[in-house]
Amino acid sequence: MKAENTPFWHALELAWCSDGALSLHSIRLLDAMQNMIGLSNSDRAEIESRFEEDVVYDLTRAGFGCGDQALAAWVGTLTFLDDPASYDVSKAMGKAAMQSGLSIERWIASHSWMSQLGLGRPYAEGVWLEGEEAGEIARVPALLVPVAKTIGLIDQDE
Amino acid sequence: MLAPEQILHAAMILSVESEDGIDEGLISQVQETLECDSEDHEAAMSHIENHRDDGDWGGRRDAVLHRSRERIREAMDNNSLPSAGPLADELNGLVGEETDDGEVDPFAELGVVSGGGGDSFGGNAVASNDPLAQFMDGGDEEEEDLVDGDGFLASDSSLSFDGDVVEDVVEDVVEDVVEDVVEEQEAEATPVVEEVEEPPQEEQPATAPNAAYEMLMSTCWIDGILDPAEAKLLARKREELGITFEQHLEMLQSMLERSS
Repeated sequence: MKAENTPFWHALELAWCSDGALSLHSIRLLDAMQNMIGLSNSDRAEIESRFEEDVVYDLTRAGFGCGDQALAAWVGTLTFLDDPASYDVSKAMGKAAMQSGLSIERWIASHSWMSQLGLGRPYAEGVWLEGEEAGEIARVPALLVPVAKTIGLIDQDE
Repeated sequence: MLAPEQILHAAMILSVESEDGIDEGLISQVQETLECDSEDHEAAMSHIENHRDDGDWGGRRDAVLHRSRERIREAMDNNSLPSAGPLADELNGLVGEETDDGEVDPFAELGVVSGGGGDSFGGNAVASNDPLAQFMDGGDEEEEDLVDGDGFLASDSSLSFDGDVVEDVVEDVVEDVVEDVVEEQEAEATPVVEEVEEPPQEEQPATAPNAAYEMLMSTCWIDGILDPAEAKLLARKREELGITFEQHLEMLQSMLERSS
């Protein structure tokens, strides 16, 4: 799993990058997210260390951590993981990624992302046409929008 | 065993290159016999249009026609196509357009022979131009297969694969690789039989398909992009070689780790 290609890294970006500060509310939201996706303490520590080195050290504080609002919205989308359709949607997204032409880099990044959400297997099945054929993806769930951008299913600007 | 779409493709090439041009009636019969759908037909025609190069096929006309004839003959031999009757007669006419002196094996002309021996990566210009050439050592007709299969490739060395082409080529490659790996393992095992305890016989076939599959997987990303035809081919090969999806993911992971 590549730290920078994970939902938790994305959450840290939301929490930190709007004004270069991390609020207490954001810390609680990150804790909640960790529990929801079953992220181990060691994995979280590894991601946060990398994030500090790569991102935080270069930030300039300009506020009091107002990124918590965006983070709260993002954490809210994790309810998708309880959706019975999450498996099929992930598989369909894998198929769509493959059909649009999947580079090695995009595969690594997207699979890493989906794996942290526990959706790596169906996503891989979709990409590699394993088992029953995946359906078409009608709409990308909010939780998967960042990875959909990574694999080119959604324009980066959208 | 050739896939129906490969046979259809070969028939269309021969028909397109015949004196009278493509005979849609004949192609329809072939298509119907092979139970190919219109998508297969369109894909084959699209490929031909893209690579025909006014009949020159990127300088590989003879090789392409030769391979196409071989495929039709093979299909008739294994009853994928009828070997008797009106359709067979027409196909024989198509295949029979090959003249004794008309066929030039470009590899024979160039003095290129199969790698054999120990040089796994070949030393000829054709092989060195093609990343797939590393999988072509040892067989009798690998180089010819490469070009014949590649008869459907773009003429330059940048390997602008389209779906059907890569499936065509890598399928030939993987079959050769499976054979080669088994042969190599047998050859390596032979001299040390007296000194080392003989490994269990069942280990060899268990390893060979994995190695071949891994090599096939690496060829599928050789152009940097995984496309549907490649994914489809790998899925089919997993089934044929008895490779589980978990094994596939493990092999993929180790392949990516090695390359990073």
